[in-house]
Amino acid sequence: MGIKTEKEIINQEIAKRLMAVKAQTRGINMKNGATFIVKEEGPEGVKKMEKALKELGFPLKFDKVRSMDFYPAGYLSVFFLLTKKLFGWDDQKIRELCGFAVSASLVVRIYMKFFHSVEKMIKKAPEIWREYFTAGELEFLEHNFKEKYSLVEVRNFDLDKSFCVCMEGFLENITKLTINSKEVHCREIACTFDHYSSHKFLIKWQ
Amino acid sequence: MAISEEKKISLLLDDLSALEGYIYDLFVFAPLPICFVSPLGVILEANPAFEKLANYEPYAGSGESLNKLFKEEDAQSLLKEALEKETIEQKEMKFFPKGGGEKIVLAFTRKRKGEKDESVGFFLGLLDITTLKNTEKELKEAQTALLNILEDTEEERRKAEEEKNKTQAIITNFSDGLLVFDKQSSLTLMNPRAEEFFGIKKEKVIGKSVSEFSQISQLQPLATLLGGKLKKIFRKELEIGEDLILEVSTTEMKRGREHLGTLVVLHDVTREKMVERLKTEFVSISAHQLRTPLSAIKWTLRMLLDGDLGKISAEQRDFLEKTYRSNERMISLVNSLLNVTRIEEGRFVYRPVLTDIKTITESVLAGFKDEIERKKIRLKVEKPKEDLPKILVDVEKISSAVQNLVDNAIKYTLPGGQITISLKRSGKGIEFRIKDSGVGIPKKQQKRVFEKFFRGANVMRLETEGSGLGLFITKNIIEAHGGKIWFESQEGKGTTFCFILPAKRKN
Repeated sequence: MGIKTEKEIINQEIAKRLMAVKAQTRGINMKNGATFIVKEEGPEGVKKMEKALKELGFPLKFDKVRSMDFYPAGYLSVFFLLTKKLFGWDDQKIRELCGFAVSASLVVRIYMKFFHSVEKMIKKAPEIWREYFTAGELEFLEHNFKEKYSLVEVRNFDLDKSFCVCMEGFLENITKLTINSKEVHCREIACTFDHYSSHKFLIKWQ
Repeated sequence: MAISEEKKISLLLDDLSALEGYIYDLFVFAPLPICFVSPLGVILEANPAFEKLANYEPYAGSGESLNKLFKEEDAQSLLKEALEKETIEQKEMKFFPKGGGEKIVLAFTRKRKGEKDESVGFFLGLLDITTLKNTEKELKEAQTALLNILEDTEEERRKAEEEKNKTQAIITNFSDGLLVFDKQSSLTLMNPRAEEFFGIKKEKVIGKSVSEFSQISQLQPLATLLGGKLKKIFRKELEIGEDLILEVSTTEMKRGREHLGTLVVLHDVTREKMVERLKTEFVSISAHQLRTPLSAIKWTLRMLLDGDLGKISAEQRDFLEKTYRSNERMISLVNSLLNVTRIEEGRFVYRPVLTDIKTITESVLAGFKDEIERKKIRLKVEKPKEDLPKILVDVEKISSAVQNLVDNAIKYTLPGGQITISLKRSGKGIEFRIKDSGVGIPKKQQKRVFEKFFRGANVMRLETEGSGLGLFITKNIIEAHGGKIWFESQEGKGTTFCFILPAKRKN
C-alpha cells in the first residue's frame, strides 16, 4: 500500500469531481461538522478548513451557512477528506463527527418526536432522507427486535467512501437514542464502491 | 413589485437560521441545567449547564439514560409522572453525577406532545440545591446547638440569678456594714446596715467617690479615715456620734491579678468598747481604792520594822519582812494595773526629755544588783563601740520598760545562768538588747507574749509571782515613743528581747 500522499486524499481534481455530483444536502450537515471541528481543534480549525476549501476553489463560510438551505452534497465528502488532510483524522473520527451531529443539531429538535418509537423512526426515515438530501433513497430493509438488528439500504447516492463511514456513525447514534441502548454498532456490509448495487448498513445492538 | 418564490424561500431560510441561532444561544446560555428526555428515558439533548451538573464532557449527554443519573426507581417514577402530567414542579430528588458523588436537586418537567397529542418526551430542568440543603442542615444543627447553648445559658443565668439573690440576701442581712467601691473608687454598693450606721440612703451616695464623701456630713469621718485613694486599713476605729464605734477594714477585691475594686467592712464594736471601758474603769477604780490601804500598810510595816513602835524579836522581824515584801508586790501589781488602765484610756502621759539611755540602763541594773548576786547570775554589760546620742524619751516610762525586761530576765533565768545586755546604734535609732539563758518561751505561746495578763505555761510552774502585765506595758511604752520591740526565744535555752528607740533630737 505505501504511505498515501496528500494529493491522494484530496486535491482540486477530486474536489471538483465530488462537487459535480448531482445531489444537494441541508446546510445543517456542514454546520455540524464545523461545530465538531471547534470542539476537537478549536476555532482555528474552522479557519483552516475554510482556507482549504477556498484553495480548492469551493469557498464556504460556515457562519454564513443557513441550516435549512441546500448546498452541494459534495461539500460533505470534501469536508471529510480535508479533515484527514488538515487534522490527520481517521475514519473513526469521521464516524464520531457524524454521530455527534445527531445529538448536537437541529436534527434532534426537529425529529425528537420520532425517537420514542422505533417503528415510527423506521417509517419516517425515508422521508427524513428526502428532506435532507435531494438525491438517493434510504430504506429500512429489515428490523428484528428479537435478534436486535436492523438493515438499512441507501440507494443511488454515491459520493465517496468517507460518506459511507459518516453514515455508519449517524445511524449508530440515532439508533442509540431510539432504543435506549449504549451498545449499538453499525457497519456497512455492502457498498457501491465495492461493486455492490447499493449501500447496506447493518445495525446491531445489545 | 412581487417577491419571487425563490426570494421568499431565501427570506424564510434566513429567519429560520436566526431563530435557530436564538434557540441555540438561549439553550447554551441558560444557567439552569436543562435536557430533553425521550419517553424511553434517554437524554436526547442537554445544555452545557446540565452537562456540567452531570459531569459530562461537552455534547456527551445525548444518549445517556436517566437511570444513571437518579436511582432507577426514582428515574422511572419521574419518567412516568412527567409523561402523565403536563408539568412537574420542584420534585426533590437525589442526583448522581457521572464519576461519583451525590447532589440534591429539584426537578421541573414540561411534557412535549406530538401531532396526535401523544407524549413525545419532556423537558427536564434541574435546580441544584445541594448547597442550600447542606446549609439548611448546618443551620438546623446550628439552631439545635444554639438552642442547647441557650438552654444551658438560661440554666446558668438562673443559677447565677439564684446565686446573686443569695449573695444579695447575705449582703442585705449582713450584720456588718458593707461598702463596695469600683476601680475608680466610686461607690457601687451600700448594704442596709451601712445605711443604718450613717443614717443615709444608698441612693444618695451610690456612684459617688470617696473624695465626694467629705461633702456629705454623715460620711465625713469615714472619708477622712479612708483617704481619697481608699488606702488599705485594718480594724481602725471610727466614732460616729456618741454611741456608735465602728471598726473599719478595707479589702482589695481581685480576680486573678485584676483589681476589681475595694470592699469596706464596717463592724459595730460599740458594745465591746463599752464593756472594755467599763472593765478598765472598774480596774482603775479598784486599783485606786486598793492603793491607799496598801500604802498605809506599807508605812505601818516600815515603822514596825524600823523599831519606831518598839523593839521586835527576830522571829517577828522575819514575819514582818515577808509581809512587807508581799505588800510591795501588791503595790507593784496595783501600779501596773493602773498603768494598763491609763494606757487603754489614753491617759498614759509622756513627758519626754533629752537623756542618755546608757544612764537609764545602769540605774535600772543597780536596783537589781542584790537579786543578781542572790541568784548568782553572771551579768555581762557590753559597752557600745561608739558614743551613743541622747534620745528624747520619758525617763520614768523607759526606765519602767527596761526594768520590766531586766526583771523578767532575772526571774526566768535559773541560778548560775547568764544575762547579757548591750546597747548600740542601729540605723537612725538606738538598740537595746537583753539576752538571758533562761527557760525561754514555748513556741506555741510566743504570739501572745505582749498580750495583757499573759504568762508562759512553763514560767507559771517555775515562778508563781508575776502579773502578766509587764510586757504589755513595755510594748506600749516603746511604741508610744515611736520605737519597736521584738524577741527571739527558744524554750529551755533562753530569750532575747530587743527594742529600738528613734534617736530624735529635741527641737
